[in-house]
Amino acid sequence: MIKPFLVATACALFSMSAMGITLKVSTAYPDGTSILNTFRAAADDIDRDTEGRVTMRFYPGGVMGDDQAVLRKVRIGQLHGAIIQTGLFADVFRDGQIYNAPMLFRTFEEVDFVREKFDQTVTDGYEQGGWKTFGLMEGGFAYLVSVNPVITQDDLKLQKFWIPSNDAISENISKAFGISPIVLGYGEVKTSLETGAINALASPPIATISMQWFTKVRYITDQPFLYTAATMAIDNKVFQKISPEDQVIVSQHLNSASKTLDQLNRVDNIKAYEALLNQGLEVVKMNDEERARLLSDSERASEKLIEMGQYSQEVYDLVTGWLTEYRSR
Amino acid sequence: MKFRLFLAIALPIVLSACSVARLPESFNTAVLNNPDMATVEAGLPAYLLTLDGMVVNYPENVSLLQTSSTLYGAYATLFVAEPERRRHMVSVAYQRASAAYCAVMKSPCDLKEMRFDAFEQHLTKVDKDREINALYILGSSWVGVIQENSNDWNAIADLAKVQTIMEKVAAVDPTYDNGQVLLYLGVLNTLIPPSLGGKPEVAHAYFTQAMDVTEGRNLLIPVMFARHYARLVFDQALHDSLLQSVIDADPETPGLWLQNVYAQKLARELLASSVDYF
Repeated sequence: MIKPFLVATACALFSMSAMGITLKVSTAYPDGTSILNTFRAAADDIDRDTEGRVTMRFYPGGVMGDDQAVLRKVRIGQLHGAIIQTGLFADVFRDGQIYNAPMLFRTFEEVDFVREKFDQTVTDGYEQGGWKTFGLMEGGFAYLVSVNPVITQDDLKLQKFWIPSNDAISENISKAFGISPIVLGYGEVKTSLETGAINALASPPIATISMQWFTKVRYITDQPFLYTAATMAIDNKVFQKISPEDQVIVSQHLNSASKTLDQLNRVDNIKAYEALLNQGLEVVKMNDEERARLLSDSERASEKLIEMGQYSQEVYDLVTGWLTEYRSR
Repeated sequence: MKFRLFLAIALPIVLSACSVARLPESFNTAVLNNPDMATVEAGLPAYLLTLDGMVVNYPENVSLLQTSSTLYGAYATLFVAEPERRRHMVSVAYQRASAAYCAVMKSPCDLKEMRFDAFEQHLTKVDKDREINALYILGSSWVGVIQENSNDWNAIADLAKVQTIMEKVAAVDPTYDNGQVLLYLGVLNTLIPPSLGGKPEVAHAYFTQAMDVTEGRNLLIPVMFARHYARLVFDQALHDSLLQSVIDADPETPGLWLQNVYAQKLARELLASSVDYF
């Protein structure tokens, strides 16, 4: 009795192996965008170089549900991965959120200096948390855009400030700044700006343009509010089912695609910021005293975020130490 | 994050082909009822050059500018493969539509340069038939420019104005341009996925209304319905049935024959890639 069973099982395993693995990956980004195009091209290369042993299937436009739903589907094996904002990996590797600390970075050069030193730690942290990732992809700086000029923390407290639903980081940052935010889904933002239900938000320039929010605000505050990033993540249990040789091929192509997008997004955000100015948004400039005050406010907010457990004091000190080193050059 | 959602806006660039309906009557009939795209491709450039010469002589002739605009846009969309040439041609189309709009409106008319709130204010003054027509042709040509400059964030930002233009025209007459204005709005409302706040149900309503208005004769509408809506919401059954209906349909419809042949070609290509996509 046992022998036929073993043979049947062996045949089944052989069959699965012969069929190869299809990595099912979800993302909120719609088809046709550069991010999907780039990863689809990488998937074609993987298919070719593994001779069909590893293929990828993408579910774009959020058809598999919101980010939380996608993570649940990965846990139960319906999906194998996602192209996802790093903020959603707070439970996977807490200190990965250090990049989202408010007003941590002032320039892209500072970002590059820190990321060169810390990205690998983040990638390793995600892997230990059960996710194989392939490098971070910059989402750009989120800037405050508003109907009224915003310079100080007190100005900010007076705004009807929007944050997205189910966004723990934004919620904690708002709390740390003493803001009582208005929580809405993305689909309600433009209408709420029109009706005055909200009058301020923080968003990367590419989003501010793409979602047409710029049509309902007048000002952009000349200080990066926070840095955003995303990553292609595959459930490590699934990834380990791929042969070591094919893992190398998959990693090579997905790393390369992520790097391309990381660079492309930088350029896009800079151009999108310029386009916002061309559309007539007024830059809220601040003098040295005002800027120093705002940055001091943001440091206090970071301390509160550490108390909330958003990221550790050690990592905050490490990163701010690097930034001090960079700024003193 | 990478919200470059609309860089590959994949707007139905062929839409401008529909505006061929504004060609002088005899030529219009010949082009739109010719199912041989190769003949049209070979013949149209001569007419483009003729129009260029006429525009030089009559730079403020609204009808001439608009015909030239729509024809340039249509030719670029349907027949020109080289990006540089396409960009040039849609730019000419936009410039002529813009000149025509200014000739009609007289007052400040450079919509591109207006702040959005001023632009909205300006549109409240556009109400006469010829003004609406000039606005619609300008909006149609603007779509082509955005499509061909989809890496330019200034162009992407202009989508907000184009959408507002189409909403204005549809509010005046939802059957405008044989329901084509609804098709624009259908596609524009698929550019943001539901996960990021998009409202595909609004797009669905526009596509359905467009199909009703044209009583199924305009085969480009179901093709765009499949390509932009069904793919967005991942509805393969709807996608395939819409495309199959286009392939099975008789393309010979007065004024739409050429476009319908093109739509059937697109439908076959999309249906062939259905398995890979879904």
